[in-house]
Amino acid sequence: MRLGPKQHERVRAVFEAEYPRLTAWCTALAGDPAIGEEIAAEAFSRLLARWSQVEQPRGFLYKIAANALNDVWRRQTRRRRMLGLLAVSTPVVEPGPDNSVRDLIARLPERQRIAVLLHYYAELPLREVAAHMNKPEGTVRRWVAEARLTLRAQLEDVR
Amino acid sequence: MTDFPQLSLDVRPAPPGAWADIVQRARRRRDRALAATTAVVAVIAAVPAFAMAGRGGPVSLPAHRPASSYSDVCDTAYDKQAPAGDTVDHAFRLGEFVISPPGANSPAVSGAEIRRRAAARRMTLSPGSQLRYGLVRYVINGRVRRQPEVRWVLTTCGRPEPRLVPTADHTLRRSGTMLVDRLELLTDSGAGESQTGAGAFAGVCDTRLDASAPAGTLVASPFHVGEASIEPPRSGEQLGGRERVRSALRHRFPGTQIRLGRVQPLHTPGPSRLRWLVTTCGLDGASVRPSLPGVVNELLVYDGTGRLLAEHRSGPRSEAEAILPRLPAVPFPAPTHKAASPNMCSEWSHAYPDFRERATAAGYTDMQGCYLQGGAVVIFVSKPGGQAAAALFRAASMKEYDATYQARFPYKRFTFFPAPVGDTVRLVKLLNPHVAEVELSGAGVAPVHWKFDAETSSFLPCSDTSATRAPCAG
Repeated sequence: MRLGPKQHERVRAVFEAEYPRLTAWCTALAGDPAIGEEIAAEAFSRLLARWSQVEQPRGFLYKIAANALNDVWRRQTRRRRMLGLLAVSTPVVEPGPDNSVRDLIARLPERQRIAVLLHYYAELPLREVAAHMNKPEGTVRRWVAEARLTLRAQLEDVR
Repeated sequence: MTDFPQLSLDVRPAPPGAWADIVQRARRRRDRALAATTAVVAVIAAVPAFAMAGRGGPVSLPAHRPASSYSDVCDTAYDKQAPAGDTVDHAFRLGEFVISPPGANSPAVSGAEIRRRAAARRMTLSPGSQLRYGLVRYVINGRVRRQPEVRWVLTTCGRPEPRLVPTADHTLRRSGTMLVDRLELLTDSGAGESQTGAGAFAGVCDTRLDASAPAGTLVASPFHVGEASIEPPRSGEQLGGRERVRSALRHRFPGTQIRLGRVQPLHTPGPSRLRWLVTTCGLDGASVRPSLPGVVNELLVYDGTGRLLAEHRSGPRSEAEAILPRLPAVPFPAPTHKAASPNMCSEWSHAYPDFRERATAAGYTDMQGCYLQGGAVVIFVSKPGGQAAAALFRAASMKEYDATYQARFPYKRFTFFPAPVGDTVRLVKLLNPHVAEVELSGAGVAPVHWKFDAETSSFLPCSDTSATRAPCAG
């Protein structure tokens, strides 16, 4: 992380430009401002640590954040499942799925979820998403299309 | 794009410390990587460094976060404006007192009245001082030692006070300052009665996690967290590896302290051991462990090689909640506080029945304070629409006093001395063993302070210094 003053200034400029929106994005998807801020801060600290190797800072930030969100959702799912098991002997009140955007995305398969988050919600071009995910662009395009079909079906169910 | 539901974003400007926090995180990551590389042989040194570097993979989310309130004893530090409210809304433990929410119980005097009375006593409060009533239990070694009662409690937290450390010759030496939380139980007359205090955050840390801790590598005074009892190291004791511990830390805040101290399990006899102690105070309990409510202090115990040996976490609220289920239930309604000397009678219903009945028949319908000093018993009684008075019994000898005590201070032993103005009289404070400062008021009479001298059985204006030169507010 030994950056010169100019490099430091550049990272700072990315921070000024991207931090508010990235935090809001993470908060909306995580459903908790504390977690949202935590993920955003973590993403920026990683960007700072790897600044010289990162070509697309914005994409890098959102990729880190999407992975972290994935972890959060995975943990929440595990918790729900555990509470479900506990509920056999002890009644536990835990909010179930709420069909919010966050919940709909969280229910997608992991690869589709990351692709949708980066392409649709972080507005990254498919080529960049594919580069971040280390997959061919066509594969990512297919995942996004599949995710769209799944989401449409779920939204129709809700309506 | 239109297939996907819109994500509504609440975009806000970055908080002031966000960038500094990020820079610090990046430095910590670099420090951790450096520490790891020194711990392994050169051939594989690159492996952990690579593993710790950001690779765009999943990140681990540090769970620790600051609590939103101050220390559970108070909602805020002494110099910040405390929120309004008359009741304790969560249990907490400070010293030997366990305070819990009063439920539907209420104290003998209202919030407005107790504040007025406290102010009349010239009690000065900080902006963050909170006057609330709660169910007060006095607990020593896990047992309730006094009858639980509903009473007013004054709390002030985080005030810097001199830190006194014991010396080899059994005296106390001042060693810097520490933040202290204080709790004072009030009588219904607004006077402070019992006090207790402890280092803020139970004396575990010198500051809250988000304020920079003072430099220092030794524990200065004893404290306990959870099951660990900590003492300062003995003179000249040393242990290496502080930097290793520092590097091993996963969560480090400005207020996190790494100090050398002696550790012993609280309830296990045996020798204490010299260890590196990492303390962080003011954590949100839920961010550390879901079963820990409120503000939590954390103690991590490391040896000289940087190995984590034990973790202890507790806070005033979690300690209270842990002990409350083991204490006997309090009946409803819970007894209200009955003041002890010098103001023995905080409310009318606490007076002896004979005095109360006969005085009521004579038109004295309220009593707000009495005192027993210098062989005299003085009870201040109010008579709506009439004249307030001081009822005085003075014993000529201890024998006479004992006989009157045995008879429970009957009404006929008292002489009534009418107040010069007002139909209401209230004891404010004792100026000397015979003289009390009282407040006289009534319909059309603005509250005014006078003295009552039990020696001469007379009310005296505040300017009169024949009985005492002690200042009086009139």
